[in-house]
Amino acid sequence: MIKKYRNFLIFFSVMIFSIGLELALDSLGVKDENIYLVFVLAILIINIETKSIWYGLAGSLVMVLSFNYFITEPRQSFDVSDTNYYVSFIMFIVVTFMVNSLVLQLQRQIRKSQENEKKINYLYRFSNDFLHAQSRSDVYEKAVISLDEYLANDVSIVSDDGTTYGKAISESLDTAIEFASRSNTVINKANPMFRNIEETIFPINSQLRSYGTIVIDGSHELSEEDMEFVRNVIEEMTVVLEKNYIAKEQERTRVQVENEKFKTSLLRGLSHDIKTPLTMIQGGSNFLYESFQQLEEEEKKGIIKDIYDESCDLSEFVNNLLDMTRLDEENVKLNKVKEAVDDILFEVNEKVKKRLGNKKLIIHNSDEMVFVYADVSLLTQVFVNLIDNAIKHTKNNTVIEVDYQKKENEILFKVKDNGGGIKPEKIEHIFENFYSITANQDRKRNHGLGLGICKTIIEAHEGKIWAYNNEEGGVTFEFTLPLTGE
Amino acid sequence: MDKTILVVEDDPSIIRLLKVALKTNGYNALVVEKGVEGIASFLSQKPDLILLDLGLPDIDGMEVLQQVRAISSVPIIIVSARGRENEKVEALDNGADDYVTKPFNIGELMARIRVALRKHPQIKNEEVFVCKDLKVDFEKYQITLNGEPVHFTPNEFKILKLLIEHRGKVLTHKFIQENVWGYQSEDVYQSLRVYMAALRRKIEKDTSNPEYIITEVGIGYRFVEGD
Repeated sequence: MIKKYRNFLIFFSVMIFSIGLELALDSLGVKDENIYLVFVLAILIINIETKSIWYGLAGSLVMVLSFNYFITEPRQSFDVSDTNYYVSFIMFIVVTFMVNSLVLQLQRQIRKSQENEKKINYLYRFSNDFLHAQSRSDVYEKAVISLDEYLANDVSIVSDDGTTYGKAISESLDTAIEFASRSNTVINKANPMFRNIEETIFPINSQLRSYGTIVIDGSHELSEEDMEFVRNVIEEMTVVLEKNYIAKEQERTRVQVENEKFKTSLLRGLSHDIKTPLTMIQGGSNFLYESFQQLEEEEKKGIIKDIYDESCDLSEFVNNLLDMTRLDEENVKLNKVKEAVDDILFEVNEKVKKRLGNKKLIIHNSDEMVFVYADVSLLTQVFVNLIDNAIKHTKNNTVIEVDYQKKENEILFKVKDNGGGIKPEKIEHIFENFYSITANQDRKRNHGLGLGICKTIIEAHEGKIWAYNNEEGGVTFEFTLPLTGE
Repeated sequence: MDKTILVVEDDPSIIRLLKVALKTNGYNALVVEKGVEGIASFLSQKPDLILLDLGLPDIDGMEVLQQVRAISSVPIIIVSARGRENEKVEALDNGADDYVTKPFNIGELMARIRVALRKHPQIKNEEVFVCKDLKVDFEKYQITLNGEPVHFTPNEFKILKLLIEHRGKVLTHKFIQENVWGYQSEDVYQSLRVYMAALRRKIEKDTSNPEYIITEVGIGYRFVEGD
């Protein structure tokens, strides 16, 4: 309404002004040709300002008639006998058409370039956003926000793992979404299969795979520009998502290869560690069976004792393996309880007693009751492994001492022996699983795993473990466990 | 007459070992490999004790335990695989008398069988219990170690009495809590630990190598079988 009113005002004032000017110029004796130029100017102004071909034509008509009426002889009358006026009338009309179409074209182009600019700005911002997207979900979230901002419609995205970003989507769209993604086509109600849907569904597909769909609700009709814009956003999204996907795939493959390698070395180590005691058990018992009559009583007892010792070793090794598989599982669930350290050390003593031989284990219990919050069977295993380590790697008559102190916010445990110590260049590797295999092919049995397990267990309890050679000889293993608020 | 022991176990080499060991120790061994057969043999043969493996081919050993326990108080010793402390506690709380862990020591198993077969009469108030250097006088409410009086709190005494009454058998934390405090809770559990540690310090010469009260870590306590 206002626009029409405005156009009419412009038209009216330009007409009055130019007719006034026409009369003024005529009275000053200006030539007709120049007065024509005034008309042309007036028509140009009307065309540009009103942007309407009808005002242009009306202006041409008024101008020609006013010229005829006011300027040409006989004045104050419409005499159209002179063909000149027809010619000029037609010329005016032609000028009107041309100018009008030029103006409209220009305006369209301005509008389009403005839109393009807006779109490019948006896209630029999106791709910038996407580049800085931290994760897949970040990409989806940013796309929803951007599209929401740009389009007047509500936008949701269903990712390839089924997560919905943005507004929740009704289940009735599931088939359409599935179809869009599978067929890689944009689905809206123009599709004969989905006549009753209001939404427009865009697949987010790359050549490699599908990353989900964009669902735009039907509250506003999508223009061709809008569609184009959505396609551009999809293109940007797939680039980022694909990059992300490929990186993840590569990481997965890398981890898989690593795991395979670890498994192989683990199995090699395991079979070695199991075979060594098994060889003795098998050979010894078979020998006993075959030569039972020929053997002396003492010899038999000796072999049986060895078989028993070896099987104890094997059993301890299997315990370690069980612990390791438990620790290896993702999200290790420690069965933590509050337990008196005294009690744990008692259990430890019970377990290692039989293997001590001529070595001595001294447990120094503190006067104060100390409780530790830990997985008791795993913690017991740590002590057993450390003590076993001392038993196996020291000569006769070793004294092994276990000691602990309650500190401000942790408990410090010590397992100390007075044996031969560890070579300085090896001490930093002793906690690596199967280190002893690589270090020494001819090693004693079954200590490739024990210290590595200690480290894993202690670290799972948020503690630290380390070892050092004592000045007076032997090794001390120390580890800490955090004290929990009581 | 020899006592009959029903062995519910499916591993052939363990069966062979148990048969020899039980026979050598003067028991009749009756072996079945399935849980259902176990229940059936229990009903028909009336064994004096059941050795029950929890991992059976047909039904869960825990099921066998519950079914037998529902109708009889026959001693039941559980045989379980390592690292399943929860299972042991569950079995004990479901009425099992004791448990051994695979791989087990035959000597230890025989000792457990002896304890389980022997029913301890309830200690009467006038009785005096003596084990090594420890003497507990229930009537006079006194504990002496090497003739020296030991100072104790009422709860410490209650716990010790309970352990002695069930000596040789493992008592779960839950069992002790319910019998001393009347209920169980996290707080009571903590106090139990403190009382036990205190009691130990009073009667044991070396707490990491105790003579009287043995800790079954994660499960409970056992008073040593004195004789």
